[in-house]
Amino acid sequence: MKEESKEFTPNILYALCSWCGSGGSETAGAMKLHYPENVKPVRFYCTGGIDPVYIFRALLEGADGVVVSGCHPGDCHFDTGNYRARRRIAAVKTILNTLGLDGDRVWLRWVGHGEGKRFVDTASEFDEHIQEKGPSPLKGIRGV
Amino acid sequence: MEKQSITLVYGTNLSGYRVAYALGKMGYKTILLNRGRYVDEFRNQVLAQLPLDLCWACAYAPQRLFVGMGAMQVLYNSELLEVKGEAGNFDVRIRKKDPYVNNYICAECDKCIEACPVEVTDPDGRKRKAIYTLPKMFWENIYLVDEEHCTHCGECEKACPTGAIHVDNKVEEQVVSVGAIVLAPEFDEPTEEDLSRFGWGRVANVVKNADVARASLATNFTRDSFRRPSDGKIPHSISVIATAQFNDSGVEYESYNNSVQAIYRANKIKQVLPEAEVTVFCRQYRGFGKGHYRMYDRALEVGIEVVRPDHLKLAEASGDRNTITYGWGTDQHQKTVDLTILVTGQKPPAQMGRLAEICGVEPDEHGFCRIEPFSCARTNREGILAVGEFTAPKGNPETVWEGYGPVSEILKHLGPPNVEPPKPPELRSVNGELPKIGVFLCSCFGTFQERMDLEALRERVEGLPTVSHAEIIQGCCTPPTMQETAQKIKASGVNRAILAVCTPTQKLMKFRKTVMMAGLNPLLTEFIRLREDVVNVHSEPEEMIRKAESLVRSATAKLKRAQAAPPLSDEMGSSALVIGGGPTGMEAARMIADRGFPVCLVEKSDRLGGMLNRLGKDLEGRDFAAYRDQLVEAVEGHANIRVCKNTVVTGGRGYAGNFHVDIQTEGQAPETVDAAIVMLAIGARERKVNAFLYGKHPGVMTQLELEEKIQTGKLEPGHVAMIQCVGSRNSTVPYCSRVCCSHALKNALDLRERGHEVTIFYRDINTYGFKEDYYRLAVEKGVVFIRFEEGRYPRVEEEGGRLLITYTHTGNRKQETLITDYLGLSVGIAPDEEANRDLSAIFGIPLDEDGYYDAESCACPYEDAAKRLMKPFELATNGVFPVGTTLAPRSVTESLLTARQAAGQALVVLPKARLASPNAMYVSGVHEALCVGCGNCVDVCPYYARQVNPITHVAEVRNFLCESCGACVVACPSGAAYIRDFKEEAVISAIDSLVA
Amino acid sequence: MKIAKKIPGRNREALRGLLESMVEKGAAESLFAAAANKRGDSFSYFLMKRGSLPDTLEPLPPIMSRSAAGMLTYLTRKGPLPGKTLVVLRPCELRAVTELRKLNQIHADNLVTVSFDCPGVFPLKDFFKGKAAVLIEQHEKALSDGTLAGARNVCAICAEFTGEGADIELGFLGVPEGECWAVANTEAGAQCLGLVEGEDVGDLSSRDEAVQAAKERRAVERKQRLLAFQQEVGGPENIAKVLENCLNCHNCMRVCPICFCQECYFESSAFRAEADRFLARAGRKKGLSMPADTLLFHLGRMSHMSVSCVSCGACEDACPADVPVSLFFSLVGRSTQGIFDYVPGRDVSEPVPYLHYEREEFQEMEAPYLEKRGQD
Repeated sequence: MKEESKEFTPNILYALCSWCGSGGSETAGAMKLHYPENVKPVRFYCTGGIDPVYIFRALLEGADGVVVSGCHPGDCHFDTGNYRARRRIAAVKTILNTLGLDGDRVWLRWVGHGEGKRFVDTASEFDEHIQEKGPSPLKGIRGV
Repeated sequence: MEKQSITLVYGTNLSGYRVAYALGKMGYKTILLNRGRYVDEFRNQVLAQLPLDLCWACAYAPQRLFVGMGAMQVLYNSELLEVKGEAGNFDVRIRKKDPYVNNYICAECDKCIEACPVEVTDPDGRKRKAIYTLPKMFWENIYLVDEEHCTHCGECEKACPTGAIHVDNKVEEQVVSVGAIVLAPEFDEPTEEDLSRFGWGRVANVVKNADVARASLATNFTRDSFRRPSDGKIPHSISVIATAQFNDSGVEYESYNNSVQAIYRANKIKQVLPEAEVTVFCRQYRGFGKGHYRMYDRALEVGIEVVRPDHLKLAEASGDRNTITYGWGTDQHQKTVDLTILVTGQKPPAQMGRLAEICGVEPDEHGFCRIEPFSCARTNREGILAVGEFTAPKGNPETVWEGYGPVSEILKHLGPPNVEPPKPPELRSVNGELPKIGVFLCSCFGTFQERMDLEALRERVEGLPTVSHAEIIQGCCTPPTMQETAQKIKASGVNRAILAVCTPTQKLMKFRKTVMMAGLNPLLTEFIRLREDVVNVHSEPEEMIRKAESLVRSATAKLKRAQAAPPLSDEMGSSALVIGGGPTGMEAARMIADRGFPVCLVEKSDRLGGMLNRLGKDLEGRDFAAYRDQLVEAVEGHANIRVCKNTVVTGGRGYAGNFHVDIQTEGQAPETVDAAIVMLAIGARERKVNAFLYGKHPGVMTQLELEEKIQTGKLEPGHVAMIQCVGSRNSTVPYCSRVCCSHALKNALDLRERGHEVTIFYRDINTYGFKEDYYRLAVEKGVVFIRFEEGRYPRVEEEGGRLLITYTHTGNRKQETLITDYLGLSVGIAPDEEANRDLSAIFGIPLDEDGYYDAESCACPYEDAAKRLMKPFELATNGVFPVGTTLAPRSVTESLLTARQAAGQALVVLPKARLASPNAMYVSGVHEALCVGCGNCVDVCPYYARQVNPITHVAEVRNFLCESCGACVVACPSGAAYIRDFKEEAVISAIDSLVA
Repeated sequence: MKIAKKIPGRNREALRGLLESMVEKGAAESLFAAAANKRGDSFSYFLMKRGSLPDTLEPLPPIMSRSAAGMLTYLTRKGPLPGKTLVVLRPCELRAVTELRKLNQIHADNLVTVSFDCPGVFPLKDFFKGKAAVLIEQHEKALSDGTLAGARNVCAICAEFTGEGADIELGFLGVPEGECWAVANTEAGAQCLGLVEGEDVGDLSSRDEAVQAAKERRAVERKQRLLAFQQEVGGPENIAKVLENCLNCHNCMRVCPICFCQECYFESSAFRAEADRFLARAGRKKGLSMPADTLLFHLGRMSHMSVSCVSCGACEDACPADVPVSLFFSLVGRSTQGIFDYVPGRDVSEPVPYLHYEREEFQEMEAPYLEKRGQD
């Protein structure tokens, strides 16, 4: 997948719920759809179980971007987790933007169980998006 | 003669599956006959009507689980041949042919495809082998053998590492002895010929709704989903047609609510193609479900045009466009669009004839299977039941409910339970041992090595400081490989294990069993998706190793901090409290009591019967009184039912399995009743009305009052007018009461019999399913129907003692008048707000914005509804089941179904003295010393699994209600809430490792 | 229900008189308010019982030693006080109490809240460095004209400085010299105030106008100051520079009334790790500042509680390193509260944003998906 000419390979964390988000990744696997290797999935039971601190932590410890996918609104396996997740992620992006720390390094996009193509498209699109941005300055902040 | 304990389910509709799941949970085995070669070869109602708009996993995933547990046996390529015997002891001759590839054993390694020497070119030019995979939705690939081209050379069988293939499988006949038979055949979609009026198959760019959805499975709806088949261009104008409303009588039936699906689809189109001009054609908008009327409003808001003609036809136009000719009477209009989407109905079941012959069940006049009045799924033949779309055009809620609905009826014919879950292996204690992590890399029988350098990965992993052992394994998904891997884990001496495998979504139980066979608690293990996250989705060799290594490293960081814990359970009571003595309450009470559980039935009035005391018969002519009398007699005389009349509920405490409810009977001392589950069956009421001279003119009455007048013969001759949608479907009451149109038609037909002239002013005639017949009948019998629009309700004035109605003609907008003697107002159903609010506060079950309970929603095809309905978790509402019209307006028969389904769910849990957590040991917990009792976790828990102890002010977990979603963990600012396998320190270090 | 009485005396004297009189007349059994030390140059909160009120009662100290809301959490977390208690709260403390009531940390039954037109307070450090008597007098004067020179950062830009949410609200602004106006906003307040003698205030408009004008001015100043602060500290480099002085001592969290946890998440086992992990991070980061995770602590705390931040400034007072913590939180709180259309402390029935959701909202936070497959 990697082209030689690429100077910067982003370090990307893809946070998924165990149901639709993971399902999307598995459908992609079943359909053998490819996405960049530097996108690394991490799974939670529900997007509603993703603490904003995890996202901050990832950005401070080396991730250039974090993308979150889970069941579409109304389709949450746990009924309401994704609504709560959406609020939390709205807060994360808002905090980062307010402090000039680029909330656009955090993406939320719903991916359903059958949506394998949507999953790999999201991984690739986010990878390109972060490549354009360049390395995250957050992980390099020294001393804090 | 002893009764058999097995149930036979014929067909793969969703109700049938859910019957099998429900029985499985109660310890009964089911044999399911699938006519197809694979799981969903025949589309059922859900797949036909909601192919994309919900996640189907909850319906499929349990099947694997129940088969694995031995509670379900699925036979493919099978057919029912003969039924002998009687209820409790049927001998059923069946034919089956096992699939060439056993999907439950298959590891999806593709070796069979590589080995197959037969090349086939499909009509579309695509090359494949004689053994090939079916492009599937969701995580499974289904391997099929093409009978036409397969030479039965056996190469694939030799190549298969798991022994999943048998190319010599033959058709076999066998006789099985079962106690009950459930007929659950699938959905029949209209054919090209059936849809010729709409040009489908003949005119370019006319597509079926389900096909549009299915074509977009991997992406969901995007702009591309709506490209024209003829030229791939994005259409500028799109029409959506609810075909059943315009087709010839008897060809296709409006399955539940096609008009809602049409509006829903139009809204979706507008979301991705906001610039497109979207027109919906439907005669009536039959949005009687929750949220449906709001959906319609939104459609108008976003600029969707809704056209409501009497007739419609589609023809080809130049430029591969479609011209729709539509109109009212002789008034003709035309519209030409780029693309047309047909929302189609349902045909009478093709299987009816055969099944009638074999099973002796009877078809009704529409060709669907006839069901006994007021019953759930009972056919004319004792012990043979019919469920789902086989018995009528149905929506998703009904097909879901008909899974649990008939269980008590089925149980009557069955012997003792015959499935015992296997005992889990003995686990060893790892207390006092330093963590020793072993990594076991699955090679999937050597196939992963062909795609990546597994040995290099093993070396890399072995070098990690946190890993004490790394080894490549053959597999851990077939009995021999599970055994072998368990031995390897044991031999390695590790006390924590990482299995890098295909995916736990598919084979979780097998992986868990493997590590448990090695004596390890599943909490001491992690399963990495080597196949789905690396092997199948990447190609760069070094990058693949690096990614796999970081996944392993991250898992070790998590696992190092893992702690073993046993599966949890909690006490479960065995008695029920039913609040409300109407038909739903009584039916639920009887079902539960019949199975031997004590029921307390509380009724606030001095008489059982509820709404049945006011209704004579329904639109279909079924007599309520007779049904009511036998039901009241059965309930009042039942040894297990205690009936408390003149009694109200005043308070309550506790949770599922453990409720203590305070009741007060008039003139007696207050009392507390213990109940494991609670049914809220208090019904609803007639909406209060203060318009159209109601209460001011003696001729104006509600439909219910009118019915009573007709019944008692007190109505003098004269003209009768009716106004529909009085006080509802407006901005303050934005929903349809579902039953009023049927009620009006019933009264109108009765009135015509008695010689009255009848005029009905309506906005939409909501006669869904077979009720449409009565609408047609009423037109035939001379009932006059006059449509009006929302903002133009007829005006009513008194004139010389009679009533003068002024209305606006929808076509020419002219004012016209009518003189009538009587006026029936369809005021619809309103929630009993005060009582609902009180009970909602006592039991903590939320109300929706309209004042009904929010525990269910019948909003097909709204994703939300389908999802909530599908969830196979009986205690999702904390053991409190709102039923009937406490949920939303619905008819008596429809209400009874909700009661039966709730009772069915209750019957799954009531027999168990202790109930295990649904997610075994993976429940949430509380670090008590850190908890300050803020209650955030209680607020966000979707399952009522938490409470703050009122004495200690510390949160507690009700184990068997916890589904481990993690909402509590995020809501808790201090880290007092945790999930056993997602403790904060483990997650943080896993993230650190992953991004390092 | 709304009654308003004229209370004689200059500001703090009037309030002291009012409290003593209400307690004496049996409006409450106890009083929670600040009192001075014997020398009169330091202040802290006291819980006092009727009959034993100290003569150093000083309900309007020129500093905020701790947030009273935090003290009330301490007092009533496990249940309400047994008898009626008058509680004197600054407007920001009152808002914090409302937030903590939503979070079940303060059980407010039996509490009768008294609040007032607050001109702000001095930074603790300045007060202890300066001459107490002078500063007290400056503060007394500011009570009447609404502006306190040398007030803390957040006080200077506080636009919610009246006690309008309290049971009893004391007005100093726009009120004739030598008196203050006590307004009962609730039934409970009216019951207490009814016991006190005093002439009814007929026309409240002079205060309303003065308050309105001051609020408008402050709102503009607040916005300007926070935006200027945002310019100053925004971006990774600037943040790093500002936080360089942070000792990571967590004092700000300890004094924060909204931080109600028993143990802060950022001090919990979640971040305790083996030495090798710290070392690995040190390598990646070109040096790991110790104690580690300063920025994570601040960002994390913002995500946990900035929606409920009432800009009381306790954090900054407690900071030994002069990090402008209160401006950071006011700035971020303004944004996070803004997206949820949430005003902390406005109404106890308004749910905390994280415990609530709408089915249709924040679509703009989702990354839109447009499948790419050729041109239209």
